[in-house]
Amino acid sequence: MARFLHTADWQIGKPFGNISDHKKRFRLQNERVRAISRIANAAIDYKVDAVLIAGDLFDSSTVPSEIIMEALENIGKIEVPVIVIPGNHDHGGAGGIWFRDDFLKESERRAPLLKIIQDRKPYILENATIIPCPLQRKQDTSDPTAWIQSIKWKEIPNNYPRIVLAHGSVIDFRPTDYENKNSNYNNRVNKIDLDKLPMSEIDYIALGDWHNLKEIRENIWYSGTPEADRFSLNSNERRSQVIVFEVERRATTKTTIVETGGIKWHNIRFQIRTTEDIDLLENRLEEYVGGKVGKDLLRIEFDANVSLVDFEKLEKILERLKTQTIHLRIKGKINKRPNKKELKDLTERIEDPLISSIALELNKTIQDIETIDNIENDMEDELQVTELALCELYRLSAKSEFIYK
Amino acid sequence: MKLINCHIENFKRHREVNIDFAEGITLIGGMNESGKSSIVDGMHKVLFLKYNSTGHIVESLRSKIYPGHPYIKMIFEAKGEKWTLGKRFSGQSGSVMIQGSNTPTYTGPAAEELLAKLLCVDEIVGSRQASRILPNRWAHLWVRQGLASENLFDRPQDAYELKDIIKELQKVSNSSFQSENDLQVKEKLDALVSETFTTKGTRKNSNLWEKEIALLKAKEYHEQIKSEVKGFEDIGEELEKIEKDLKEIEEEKLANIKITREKLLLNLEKINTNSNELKLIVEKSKLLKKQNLDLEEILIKFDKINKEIIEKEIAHKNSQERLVSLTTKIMTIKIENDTLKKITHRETHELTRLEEKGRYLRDLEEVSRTREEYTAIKKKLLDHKKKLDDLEILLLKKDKIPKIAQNKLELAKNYNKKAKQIEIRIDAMSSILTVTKTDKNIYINNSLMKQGEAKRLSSDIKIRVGEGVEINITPGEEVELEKLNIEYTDCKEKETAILNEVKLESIDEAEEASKQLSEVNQAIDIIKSGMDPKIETKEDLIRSEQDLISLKSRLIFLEGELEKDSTAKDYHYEINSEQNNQLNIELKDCRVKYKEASDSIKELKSHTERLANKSSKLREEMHLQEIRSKVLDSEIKEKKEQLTLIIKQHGKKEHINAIKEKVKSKYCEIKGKENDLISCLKNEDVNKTQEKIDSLYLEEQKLSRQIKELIEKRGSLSERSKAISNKDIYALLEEAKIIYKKREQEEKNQRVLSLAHKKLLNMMNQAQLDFSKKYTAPLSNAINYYMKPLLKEFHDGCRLEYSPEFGLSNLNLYRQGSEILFKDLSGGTKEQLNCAIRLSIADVLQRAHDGSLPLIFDDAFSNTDNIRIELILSMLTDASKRGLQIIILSCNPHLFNSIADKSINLDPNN
Repeated sequence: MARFLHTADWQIGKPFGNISDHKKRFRLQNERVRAISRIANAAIDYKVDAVLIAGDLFDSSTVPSEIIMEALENIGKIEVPVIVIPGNHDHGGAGGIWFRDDFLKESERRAPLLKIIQDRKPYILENATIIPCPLQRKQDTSDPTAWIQSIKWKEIPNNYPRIVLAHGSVIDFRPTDYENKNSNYNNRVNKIDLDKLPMSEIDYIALGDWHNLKEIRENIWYSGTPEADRFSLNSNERRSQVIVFEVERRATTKTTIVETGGIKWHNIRFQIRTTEDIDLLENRLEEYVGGKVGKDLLRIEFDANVSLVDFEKLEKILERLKTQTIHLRIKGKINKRPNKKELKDLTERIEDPLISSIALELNKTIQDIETIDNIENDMEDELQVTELALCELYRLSAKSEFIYK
Repeated sequence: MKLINCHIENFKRHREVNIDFAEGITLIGGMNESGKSSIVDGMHKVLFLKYNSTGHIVESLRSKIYPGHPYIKMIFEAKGEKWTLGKRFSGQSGSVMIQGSNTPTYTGPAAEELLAKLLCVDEIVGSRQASRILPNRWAHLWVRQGLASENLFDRPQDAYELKDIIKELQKVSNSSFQSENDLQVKEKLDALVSETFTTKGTRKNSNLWEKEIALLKAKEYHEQIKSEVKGFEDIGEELEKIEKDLKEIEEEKLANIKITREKLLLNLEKINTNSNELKLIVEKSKLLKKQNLDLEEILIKFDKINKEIIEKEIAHKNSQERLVSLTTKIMTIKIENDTLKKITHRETHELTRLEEKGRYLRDLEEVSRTREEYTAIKKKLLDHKKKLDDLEILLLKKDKIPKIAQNKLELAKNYNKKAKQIEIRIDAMSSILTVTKTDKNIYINNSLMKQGEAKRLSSDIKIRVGEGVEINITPGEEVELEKLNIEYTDCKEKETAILNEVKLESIDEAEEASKQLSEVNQAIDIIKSGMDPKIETKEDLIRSEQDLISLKSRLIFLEGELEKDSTAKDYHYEINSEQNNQLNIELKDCRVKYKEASDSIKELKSHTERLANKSSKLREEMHLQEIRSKVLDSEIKEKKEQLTLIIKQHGKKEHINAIKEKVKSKYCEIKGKENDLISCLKNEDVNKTQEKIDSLYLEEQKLSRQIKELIEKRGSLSERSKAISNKDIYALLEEAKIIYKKREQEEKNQRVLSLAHKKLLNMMNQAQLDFSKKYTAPLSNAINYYMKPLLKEFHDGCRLEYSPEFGLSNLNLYRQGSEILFKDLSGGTKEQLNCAIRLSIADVLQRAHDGSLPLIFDDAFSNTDNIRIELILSMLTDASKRGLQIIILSCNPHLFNSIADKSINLDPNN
């Protein structure tokens, strides 16, 4: 009975450039390194024989030295062999991270048990055989598992389990990562054809590349990231775990999911129509974030039509939230528009005939556009401009008693 | 406001003018240049020009005729008070004073301020702004001289009190169309929009512009990072390729080279071995060949010697035979030789005899000859002597003849001839006097004439007849004759002179002499020619005689000799002519015989010689043959010895042959081997193999250079890669992208905001316009009302537009369905329209001015025809009824008399 820890896609050194605050960015980057410690703990707790990393340990070949050093330091804490294959981010070709002087030096010093497998040859351990499918070049368009078909299985011990360690997308499972506009992901075609693999000879396939936990088929798993690195599309997605599995030759594998995440990435959708809705939002946020500071990332997709005064209120809430979280991503639309009262204030202003007539006209335009079913792009823009004009009119013509900035 | 009185002093044409205005219509008439317009100007200036203005605007007001500064006083009603205003325009020292019925007097700036208030203008303008602003003051109320056809609304907005008009119009309509707030908002919007936009687009340094720039920068940066990333990835690719290439070179190419080279080296070795072997074999075969040849040589030698021996033996035999024959021959010759000797001896003897004979005959001959010679010479000498004598005689003769040079003779002849000619002429000229008859003595030139005698008259002639008659005849042509005579004399003298030189007396004599001379010369020549040239002189003669003597002596000698000769007795020849011939014949004969004998001897001698030669030759040959025979002998011996030696050395012929056969077969064997090897080696070209090896070496070099290059390249690329990776370029890319997106959003937001502002502003302007349209209606209505008589159709009328930018504008007339622009109206219609406008505006504004305003029309209807004038008159009357004060200035005041409340006539002499 061999026990292993399956993880992947650590992407140490991921820059998180969309976080403008450098300190907050650092937190995110650092958390990933800290996650390694948690993985090390899990490895100790579950007494695994080795840790298998199915690619993308590092985010790129240009990860700064300090980060590499720290990562290796933490990997060094894992007291069992750590077996890694190059993924597409940390590919095996010349110019890649594995050949960097600092990496080579530091890994020898700090993580002597770290083994990077670059060759497509079975790697025989004490109690298992690893079938590695490293991505050897930056542009490797072939199926990295194709070579498995040429393995002379007779030369591999048959009493120990065979574990495939591969990185890539699986042919029948094409992920549509909504935030995957990273250039490294473009035009990737190293698709794994699972059907071509002789499953009778293989006991477990440890996959990497897909960042959330997924059982593709029996004994074929994506471990997902040990520390979330993006927002989930839906609540079923799990992005902060490792898999510990027990494997025997020709037997069912037993898998345990171990949480290793630190920072939370929340993704919520919210519709606002009334002031009450805003209050509801506040409650929701309390649920997710609560009093924590610097521990969450929040993505809110809005469908909001707020009055001007409500807009103010909402702005304040979001401002506070921004400070409280590591990153606040606002998506969707927050439309501000004068509510009935505000509008009346403008349109029924007889003492300012121009203002009122203009307000009337603007309002009419807005209503006209909104009655159209399929609003085209330029109409959308027009709507936006008109709405904003109305708001601006309100603002500019505000009387001194009502100070609206 | 109402004008009451105007008093002008020292203003342009006017010394002093005083006008009282009626409440209604005041008509001021005057001829051209009576100063009507000056009055208006004065009123205008006093109201609207600052008192202390300087410069041209003030200077031009001064009267040119009258001293003193312009002074204008105006009394008017305004704001419920009666005011007196006085201004003196003297430049900086000008003064102003204003006093109201309930207001104290103000002077200076305070007065101007008050005045401005009363007139509802911002300020009374000074000289600086005068040219710009002054003409516009009350332009909407007063039609100044010459501006009757001008479109008031073409002027800029601030040319007239638009705001007031609008304000009043608003009041009329009982509602405003823009509030303060509106205007404020509009102003804010104006500011916001102009802050962000220019006519051409985004304004530089505005928020929007900044955001646009930021967006652009972010985009550029993003692109830049992207390309850097690409570069980095490219480097990675390249590095991979280099690795691949290096591997290929190392593992494949170099390995291949090694293998190939080894093969080649092996090949080379093989070739070398074969070559060496071949060399040895070649040596061996050469050796065998040589052996073979040697043996063959021996055999040949063998045969040769044998042959030679035989030959020599034959030769020897021949030689011996020859010897024998030779000996015989020699013998024969000897005998012959002896015979010849005898004959020769005999002949020689004969020869000697003949010789002697010959000698004798010759001597004889010589004597004879000498004798002859002597006789001849003697004769010749005598002959010669004679000739010499003849010659001497002739020479004497010659001397006697007078000699005259030929040329001189000629000359004399000429003179003679000439004289003869002259004579002829003289004769020709002269007359002949003939005494035909006479009984007296006639003397011509003192010479008596006989009867029948004639005399030629060639010169003066004196004829004396008897004693008592003397006739002088001067021939005609005396002068000429005289001349000729002289000439004749002259010639004759000359001739005579020449002749006298040689003592001759006449030409004929001379000629005779000459002839004689030539005859003598001829004779002399003949003689000379026959003489011996050698003997010319006496000395020669003497010599010749001496020669003769010597010859004689010789002859004697010879004869003596002859006699002594012994041979003579054999022949007995006499020296005479007959025997001379015989002598000759004999001599000839002797000679011939001699010749014959000597020839014969010669022949014999030569024969002998030949025989001798032949003999010696034979002897030689014999000698040779003997030697030869001996030599042959020895040679034969030698050869025989050689032969014996060879046999000793090599054995008999058969033996040698046998050996030779063996050698030959061996040779064939080896040669076969040799050929095999050669054909073996033919396919292997050592050079080519070596070349291949060399080229492999070169290739190896090349490859190792390539390796080096690749390594270098790899090194530098790695460096670059490292440098870029140190920048953490992927992080930067992500960052750049995010910033770019952010800036995009920001720019969009800003743009939408700015567009919203723009939209608002446009809407504002449009709203203003729409609103204002409503309020120009009263004005255009008023104008229409005044113009009614001109407008036939119901819909005819004028339209006036208002816009915030341009104010009132686009005043057009619509008549019978078509729109006519102001500028296209006729002059008269323009005037009428202008009048209507002023009246309408004044109508609107009068409310603010206590219900009255003064309107001035200075020559404003000159284009209006008589019929339309009626319309004008009615308009003005109407207006006056409604409270407007009208002042008309015209040079045809009679047109307006009917409506004028007061008429003033300006006297130009004023």
